[in-house]
Amino acid sequence: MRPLRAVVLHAVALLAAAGCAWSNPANRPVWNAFEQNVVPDGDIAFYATLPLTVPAGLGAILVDTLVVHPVRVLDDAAGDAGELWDDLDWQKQYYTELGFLPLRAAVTPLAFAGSWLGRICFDIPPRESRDPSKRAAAAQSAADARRTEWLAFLSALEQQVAAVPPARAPVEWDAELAAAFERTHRVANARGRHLLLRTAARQRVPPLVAEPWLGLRDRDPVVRYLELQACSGNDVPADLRRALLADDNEMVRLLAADKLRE
Amino acid sequence: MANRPHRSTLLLPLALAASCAIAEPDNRRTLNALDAHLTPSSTSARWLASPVALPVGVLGVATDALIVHPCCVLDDAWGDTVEWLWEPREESRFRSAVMTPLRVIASPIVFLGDWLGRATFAVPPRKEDA
Repeated sequence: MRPLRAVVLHAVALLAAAGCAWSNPANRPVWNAFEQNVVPDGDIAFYATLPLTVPAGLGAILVDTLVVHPVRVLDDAAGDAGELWDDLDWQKQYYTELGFLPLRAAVTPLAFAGSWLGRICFDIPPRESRDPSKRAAAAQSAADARRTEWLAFLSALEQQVAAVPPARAPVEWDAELAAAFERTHRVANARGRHLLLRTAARQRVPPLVAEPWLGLRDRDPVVRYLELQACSGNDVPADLRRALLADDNEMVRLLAADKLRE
Repeated sequence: MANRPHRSTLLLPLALAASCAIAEPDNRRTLNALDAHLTPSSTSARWLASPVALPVGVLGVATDALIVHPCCVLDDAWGDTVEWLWEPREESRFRSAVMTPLRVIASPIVFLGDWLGRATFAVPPRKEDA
């Protein structure tokens, strides 16, 4: 019984610590795949399948935490431990390098284990490859992932289905993204437009940098009201200020009078 | 006896801690001297010498970590102790009289702590006035 209790306690401690690593979406591929592909979107199907999806989701957390993420960070931990063996200068520091050889050998497994456990438990950024071409490829891959995430977000809003806001802005704002943003802003429903405008303002994407008052000019009064609540009220152009103070909606007018008072 | 940790398990943390100080090249006087004067010039000679050079290098690390560097920081530890406890400062005669026995008691403790810290970690040496 005692060994079993110890195993359970260690597993719980590991899960609690690994929660920190799990907070980063990049560290939970099984959960992401499960959520995107298996959990139904429709309300009835969503609630009807909860008895199945909730235990499976908990299983996905366990698999991510105890198997997939630990395996994925093995190479980073090996890279960290391998740094102990970088830059050995046998020509100028022959005796120094030889003298430290046993110490390096003794510390390497400890460094590997420490780095591995740290990377399992905490959200430590992955190592950047030392090879410039690999580093460039990794940066391109990350930029592509951010762009794809934004396009998927815009597409979901355009189709008026549940959308998850992307974590970060695209590295480059290209013509396709600009067209998708413009189309989504035109087609999305009021809730979608509000989510789009808030996400874009928070991440300072170019359309909101070029026109920060897009939300205050929205056709829906609730969106205008929420945007007015979120803005500081400073630097609002005079024509927009006048329009909001004379808004058709009383709540918007009252809030504008509070926020945009000269 | 069976449950007591082996002495070698206590030596490893000590060696690791001491290596913190000698990670700084200026604190490796023995190894620097060996590197500067006894390093074989060619790769093949270095390979041939390695069975002897390896224990010599390990001995050099141990000498620097446990003898040379601790001896070299004795004066810095004493300088710190004098500066912190005995340098004249603006205080009343009565306070000075009261503090003197306390300073006498504190001196070996401060000296020992400072010396152990300097012997173990890569603390920059004191800057002596010209």
